[in-house]
Amino acid sequence: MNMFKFPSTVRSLEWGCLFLVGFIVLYPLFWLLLGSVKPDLSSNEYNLDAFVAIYESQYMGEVLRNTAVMSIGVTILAVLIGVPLAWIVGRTDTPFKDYISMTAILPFIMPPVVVAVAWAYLGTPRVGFVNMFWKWVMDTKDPLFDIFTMGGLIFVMALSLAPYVFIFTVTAFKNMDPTLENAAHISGADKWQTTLRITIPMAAPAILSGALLVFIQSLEIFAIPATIGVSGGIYVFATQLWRMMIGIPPNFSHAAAMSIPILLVCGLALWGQTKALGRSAKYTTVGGKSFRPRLIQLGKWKYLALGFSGFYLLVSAILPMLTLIYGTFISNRGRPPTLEFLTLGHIEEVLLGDGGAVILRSIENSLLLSFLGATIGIALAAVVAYFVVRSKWRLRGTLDFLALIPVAIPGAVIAIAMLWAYIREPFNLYHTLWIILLAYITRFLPFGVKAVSNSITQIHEELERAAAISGANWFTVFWRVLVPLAMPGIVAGWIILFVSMMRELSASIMLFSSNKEVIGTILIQLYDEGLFSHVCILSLIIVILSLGSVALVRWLTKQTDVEGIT
Amino acid sequence: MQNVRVENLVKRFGDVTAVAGVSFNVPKGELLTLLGPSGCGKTTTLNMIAGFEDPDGGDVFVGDRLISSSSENVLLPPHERNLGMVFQSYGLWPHLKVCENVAFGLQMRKADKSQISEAVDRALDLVRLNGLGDRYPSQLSGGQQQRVAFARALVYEPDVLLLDEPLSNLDAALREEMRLELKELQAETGITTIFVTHDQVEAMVMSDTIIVMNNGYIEQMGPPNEVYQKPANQFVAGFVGVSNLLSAKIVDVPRSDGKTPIKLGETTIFCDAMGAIKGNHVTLSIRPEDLVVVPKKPKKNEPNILQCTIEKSVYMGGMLEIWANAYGQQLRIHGHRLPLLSRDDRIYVQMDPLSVKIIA
Repeated sequence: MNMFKFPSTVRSLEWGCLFLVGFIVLYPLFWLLLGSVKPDLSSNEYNLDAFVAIYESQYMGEVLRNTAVMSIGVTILAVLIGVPLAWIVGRTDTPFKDYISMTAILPFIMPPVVVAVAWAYLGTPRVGFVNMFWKWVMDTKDPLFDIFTMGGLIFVMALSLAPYVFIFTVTAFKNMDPTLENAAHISGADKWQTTLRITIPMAAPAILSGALLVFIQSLEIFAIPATIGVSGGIYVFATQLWRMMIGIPPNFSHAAAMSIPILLVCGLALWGQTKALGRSAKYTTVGGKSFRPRLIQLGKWKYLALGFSGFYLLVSAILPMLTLIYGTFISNRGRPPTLEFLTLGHIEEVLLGDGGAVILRSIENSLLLSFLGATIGIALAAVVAYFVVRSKWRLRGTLDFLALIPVAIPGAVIAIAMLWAYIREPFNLYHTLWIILLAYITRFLPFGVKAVSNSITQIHEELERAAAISGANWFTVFWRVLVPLAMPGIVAGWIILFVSMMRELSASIMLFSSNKEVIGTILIQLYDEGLFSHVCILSLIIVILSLGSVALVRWLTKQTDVEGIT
Repeated sequence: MQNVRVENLVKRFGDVTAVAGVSFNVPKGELLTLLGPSGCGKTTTLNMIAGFEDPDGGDVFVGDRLISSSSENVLLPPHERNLGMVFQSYGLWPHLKVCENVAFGLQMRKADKSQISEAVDRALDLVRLNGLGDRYPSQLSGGQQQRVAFARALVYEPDVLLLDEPLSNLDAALREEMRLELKELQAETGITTIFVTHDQVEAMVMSDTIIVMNNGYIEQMGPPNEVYQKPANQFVAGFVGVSNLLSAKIVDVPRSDGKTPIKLGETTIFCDAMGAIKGNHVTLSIRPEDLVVVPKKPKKNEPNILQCTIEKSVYMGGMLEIWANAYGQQLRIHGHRLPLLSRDDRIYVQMDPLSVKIIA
C-alpha cells in the first residue's frame, strides 16, 4: 500500500473501520454471552442456571421440536418450489418466462409480514377467503384447510422464502457453460439424462446455498410464526424468545441462554452457505466463447410448467395482493366486492381518525429511522466494501468476516443482545429510537456491503491507480474517483437498506416502546386487535413503497450498464 | 469407423448466411481440417454435423446413415449420432472425477460395469493419464484436461471425431507438442476426424485434407502442400502463409515450351499460365521464401529477376525479413545469410517460375 501518499493515515482508517464494525457486531454478542452465564448483574456470580432452567422447562421440548419441524419443512418445500421454477425459467421454452422470473423480486415486494397477515385472512377455516370460496364451489361445510397449523405455517413460510432458492439456482442455470451440456449430448445422453446427470448436479452447490439461506431465514422471521403460528398455538424459537421478553419482568437471562445454540446453528449454516457459494462459482464460470445453450422444448409439458409457475405466483403474490386491496376498500369484511360496499372510509379514518394517529406516528418513526439508518449504514458499508475489495491489508479478511456475521444472527437475538448491552452506562439507550437505529444498522450492514462491493469489483482498479499516479492522495481517490463510479451501487444499496428497515419486525418487536412504534410492530398490533382494514391499508403502503423502490433500483442498475462501467 | 459426407449444407442466422452450401467428403480414417478466420462458418459447419445447430439446407451422412437432412426431414439429436467431440474449452464436468467423465458415454450406451472400467482404463492409457482417474478435472493441468477430453470422446469408439479448436487454450510450447501427439493419436486409432482451427500451421501439420473457408464458402480444398503451394485465389494465398500478391500483365501467347511471358514492371517472367489471354492483367502470388536475393546485377533484360529498393529490413534471427519495393509494388522477402540492409539499398531478387502462381 505504498502507492498512496499517506499510508499510515489509510492504515489507521482501516483500523478504525475494523474497530467500529467489530464493536457494533461483537459488543452486543459479548453481553449476550455474559447475560446467559451471569443471571444477576449486580452480583459477581457466574453459572449455567439459565441454560439448565430452559432445558428443563416443559415448553422447551415442544419449542425445539416445532422449530426443527418448521425450519426443515420450510427448507425442503422452498427447494421443491424454487428449483423447478428456476429450471423452467433458465432452461425451458415455457411461455411467459419474464413474468415467472418476477419470482426473484417477490421477497422485496411482499415482505413476510405482509404475506403472513394476508394468508391469515385467506386461510382461516371459517371465514378465510380461500375456504369460503371452496365451500361455495364444492357446496360443503368443511373448509379446504386450516392455515393455523404446522402445515399452514410451513406453507406460508415456504411461499415467502422459495424465491431465495430460485435466485441462486436460476443464476447457476443461466451461467452454466453450455459446452458441458453439449458434451453430454454428444456422448449419447438425451435431454432428460443430461438434465438429471449434468445440469442439476452442477447446480447443486447453488441449490444448497439457497436452501441454507432459507434455513437461516426460517429461524429468523418473526412475522409468520407470530401471526399464523401463535394463532394456532404453535410456538417456535422466535416467538418463544418474544414471549420471554414480554413477560414481567422480562427474562433476559433465559432468552440469552436460548439464543446461544440457535446462533451456533445459524453460524454453521452460514459457513456452509459461503462454502457452497464458492463451489457454485467454480462450477458456473463460462469458459471459452460458447454459443447460447439450447432451451429444452417441453412440448405439451409446458402447460404443466406454466400451471406450476402460475399457481405459485397466484398463492404467493396475487391472492395476498387481492386480499389487501379488498380489505382497503371494502366496507365490511365478508361483503362481496361490488360498488355499493366499496368505501374510502378506512383510508380516511387512518389519515384523519383517532385510531390513525398511532399509525401515522409509526410511519413517521419508521421513515426517520430508515432514512438515518440507510444513510449511516451505507456510508459505513461503502468504506468497509472498499477495504474488503481493494485493500491488501492482511486483516481485510477479518473485516469481511465481521461485516458478514449479522446475516447469521436472527433479528430477535440481535435485539436481545443489544438491549442487554446498551441498557447500561455509558449508553442508556433503553426505550429510545436510537437503539432501534443501531439494531437496523447492525442487521443490514452485510447487505449494504454486498451491494457496494459488487459495484466496486466492476470498477477497473486502473482508474484508481491512474488518479493516484496523477498525484491524488487516498481520500481524493476515494471521493473523486471511487464514490462517483460506485454511486449506482451505493444508491441501490441505500434503497435496499431503506426498504428493509421500513418493514423490519424481528428486532423492532423486542426494542420498541410506547410512542416509539414502527410500521412493523403497529401492523402486528393492529392484526392482534382484529382491525382488518387498517392492516390491509398499512400492508398496501408497504407493498407500494417496495414496488417503487424496486423500480428505482432497476432503473439505477440499467444506468450503470449504459455508462459502461466494466 | 465411417466416412462423412456433407452435401450442400446451409445455415442462416437472420439475414446473415453463415454457411452457404458447403459440400465435402471425409474418407474413412482421414483427418479433414476446416480452416478459416473467425466468422467464416467453420464452427457452424461442425456444429451442424454434431447436431447443435439445425441446418437450413443440406444433408449429412455418416457412412450410409443419414443423420441430418432438410429435404428428407431427418434431424437426429446429437446423442443419437454416435459422434465424439472435443470442445474448445474441453467441457469437462467439474462435479465428476476424471474416470467418471470418461465413463459417461459408455454409461449412456448401457455398457456393463466391468466393460466400462476396462474401457476407461484403456482410454486413459491411450492418452497417457493412467492413475489420474480419481482426480477431479480442476486438479489437472491444461494439457492433462485436454487429454481427458480426448479420452472421453474416444472411449465409446464413435464413428467420427469432431475437434473444435481443441488446442487454442494451450500455451505455445504445449500446443506444438499436443499437435503431434494428436496426429499420432488419430493415426493410432484410425478414426475419421473433422478438425476446426484458425491456425494454419496446425492445419498443415495435422491434416490429410484442408478446406479453407471464408464468408460461408469453401475457397479451396486439397492436401496441405497443394493449398500452400498452389493457392486457388487471393484469399487463400493471403490466409495460408504470407504471400506477395503482385499485379502483372500477360504480354504474349505461350511459347513452345508452354511458358507464358508475363510483364511485371520492366521484368519479364516466364511461367505456367494455363488459359492465359494476351493483354490480360493478372495477379501473381509468390511466397517470401521463394524469392532469392542474388548478389550481382543481372544482364539487361534477364528474365525472372526483379530489381527492388529496400524499404525496411528486420533481423529475425536466422533470416532477414525484408520489405522492398519493385516497380511500385511492395514485396516481402526472406533473405538468408545476408548482410544487414539499409533503406534505399538496391537488391536483385530471383524467382523460380515454378513457384509463381497466377491466381486471377
